[in-house]
Amino acid sequence: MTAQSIFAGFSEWFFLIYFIGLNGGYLVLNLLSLLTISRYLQGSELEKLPQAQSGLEPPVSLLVPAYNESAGISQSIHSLLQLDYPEFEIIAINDGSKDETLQTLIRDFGLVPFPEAYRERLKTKRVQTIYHSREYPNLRVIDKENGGKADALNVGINAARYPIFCSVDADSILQRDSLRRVVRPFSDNVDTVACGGTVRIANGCEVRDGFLSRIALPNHPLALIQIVEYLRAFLFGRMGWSPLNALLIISGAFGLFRKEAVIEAGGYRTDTVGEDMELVVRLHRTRRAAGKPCIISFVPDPICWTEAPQDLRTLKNQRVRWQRGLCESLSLNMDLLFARNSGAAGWLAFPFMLVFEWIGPAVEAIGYGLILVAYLFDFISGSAMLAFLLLAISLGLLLSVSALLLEELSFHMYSRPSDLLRLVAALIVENLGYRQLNTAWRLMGLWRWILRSKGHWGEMKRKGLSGKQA
Amino acid sequence: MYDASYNKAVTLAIGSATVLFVVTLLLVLAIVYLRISLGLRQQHTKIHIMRWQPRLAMAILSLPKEAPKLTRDDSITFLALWNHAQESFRGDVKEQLNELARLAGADRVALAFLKSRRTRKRLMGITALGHLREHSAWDELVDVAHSDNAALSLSAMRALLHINALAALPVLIPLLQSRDDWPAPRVANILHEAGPEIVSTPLAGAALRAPPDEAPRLIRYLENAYLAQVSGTLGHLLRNAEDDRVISACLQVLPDPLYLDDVREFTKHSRWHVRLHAARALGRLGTHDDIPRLTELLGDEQWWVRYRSAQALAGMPGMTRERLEQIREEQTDAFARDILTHVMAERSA
Repeated sequence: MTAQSIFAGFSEWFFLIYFIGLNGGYLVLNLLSLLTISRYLQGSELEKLPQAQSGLEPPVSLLVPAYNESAGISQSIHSLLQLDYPEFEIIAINDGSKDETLQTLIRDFGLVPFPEAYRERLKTKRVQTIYHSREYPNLRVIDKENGGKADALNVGINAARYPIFCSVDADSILQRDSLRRVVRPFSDNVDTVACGGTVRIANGCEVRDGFLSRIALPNHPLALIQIVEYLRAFLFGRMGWSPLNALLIISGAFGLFRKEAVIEAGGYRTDTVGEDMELVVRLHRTRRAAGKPCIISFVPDPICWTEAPQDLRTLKNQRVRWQRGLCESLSLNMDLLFARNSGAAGWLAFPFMLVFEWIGPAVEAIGYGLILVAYLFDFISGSAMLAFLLLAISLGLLLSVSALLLEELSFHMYSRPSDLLRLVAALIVENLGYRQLNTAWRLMGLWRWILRSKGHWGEMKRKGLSGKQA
Repeated sequence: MYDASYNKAVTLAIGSATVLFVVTLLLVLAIVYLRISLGLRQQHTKIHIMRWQPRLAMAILSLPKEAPKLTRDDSITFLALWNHAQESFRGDVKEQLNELARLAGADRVALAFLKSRRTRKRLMGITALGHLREHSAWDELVDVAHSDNAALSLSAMRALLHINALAALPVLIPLLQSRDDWPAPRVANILHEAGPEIVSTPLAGAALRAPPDEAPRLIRYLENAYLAQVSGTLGHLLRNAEDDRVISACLQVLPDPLYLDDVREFTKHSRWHVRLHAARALGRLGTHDDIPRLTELLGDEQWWVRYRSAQALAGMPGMTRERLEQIREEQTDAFARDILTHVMAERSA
């Protein structure tokens, strides 16, 4: 037996096992999501009754970090002020913006300096001035030296008055009842330390006064494809891990955390680009190691809408940053892997992420490359190459269609018959080129993580949503 | 050119891909079917709403004399609408709605829903049986109240309280003690609905007998009781409790200045959360004599104790801005001055 044939045999088996593991894992997550969503929807029947809201829900501090957001910050804060929730405060943190973000806020909300007895429980860059609004008693704005999103959030945590805080991106569009829905796991179980919800793509939707007034699909193909991608990521990527209490990601766009648990864990790390995921993984690691309860929940309701990039360059930057963030989050919390008491988070989700999400792009790229090389050197026939590609694509299609099925069984937000056709078309295109392109970007992210290049605020070129002001 | 095992692998790959395509196509068809059936369901629901909404509106205005019987198709829509109406109104209207439900046969439907395997139907049925005060469902509701599913058990408990609050108390109190999976805001809601005149005494008794692990939860539920009726229990617990969680819980709800001396003692407690709740209790119940005590707490090592003490101080009877400024000037501790400045700014905002 030659070294060449041993290598060929090994790589054949390696890729086969990898392929089965990856897709089998996703199919199991899919089934788990199906069960969980159906149970969730049945149990939420009571929520529709008028008496279901007691007014005794825990008060929440909304933290809105902002860097060069002068164009949209006022509208965001105005819509947050209209959230349907008994008690909440908004803390906007201006992270040393170079534009007029602070001046806009001062002008639009009647801000005046406030002599706050600020506690620095988490070490941060210097806080310059704290303002409060004369018009809205539950609004404060903190002006601080530039230190990045994580540092801004840490300042917000230091200033937060309530036991639960919610990190919200300044450009997120929320539902009026978003907080009510996502706070439920905290009311239901005192051991809940964090909770996230489904983020949807707002491109194509109509926004009125900062809230979504009409849900529709975008015309831009790149945004349409990302809708299918988000459905897959949230409806079974996250929903599947949630019943196992093994959720490792809560989107930075909208996530609720128990303040004391986060302070105990050391707050957001300022030296990573994926501070949202890193915090969740660290909460699992530190609390489980200390034998403390750690329930991290997920509600499938679409509670936060965000604008997806519509040009390849911005999308590439976003995906490269996400992959880097994932690599950092996992590598910084390696102790969670197979740790005693780490539960499904350490024994299932972490290894799954490690093998299929962290090094996944490299394995996928090598796999595609090897098939191509094997074909070029006549190790495999053209029909064999097509057969394997067909198999990979058909599995991808199956996963995307099952995400669409979950959406249809649960929230069916896109109600027009033509929407269904467009989504099916989008999921075909997604599997014929887009996913491969995404793999290449994720590979770049992996490479940048290896090089440890410096991260920064994720700036995004936005087209803007069709909006109406009252 | 390629060996047999190689050809087999290729055939297997093609076969697997074909199967997956077929499954994918079937799923697409399932989605289309779901979409069509959803559309039909929505149409039917609209028809059912048009059928029942005017009758519900009439029943809200006056006692109904007749109603068509519910069919298998419209029972879910009816119960959803009817439960919603029941929870939106008070007084005689509820009885009128009950009459409509009985004329339509909704009591039988609700009993059938109680036995359903689907949680959604069971929740609807349980809620309806409670509003209908359906005694015949009592035993089954007691069983559901003891089930593992928190949403079902709490709904069943609420239904039992609706049917007969007094008779439901022996079921409720032990469950309040043992069910830590019941969301506190919802429990507070059902206690409020049951009425303080009914829950106060048994709840206070249970709080007295409960072990330190369970007592704080019951004590906090006492907020929904007639505080005058439970004041003695709270005072007794405050004086005799050794567990700091029990002391904190008592301080949070204590309504009576009779125990002010005990409260004052707790401002020196070693656990900061006890000092914090003592400061808040002084803000609620304290007198002019407590100003020096609260002033001392302005220099506490914990921010929250300082903050609550400053708030309590600012809210003392007869306290003026000038007096607060004077207290601030007298402080040698920068933390004490800062927190007072903060609270004064908050109050003048």
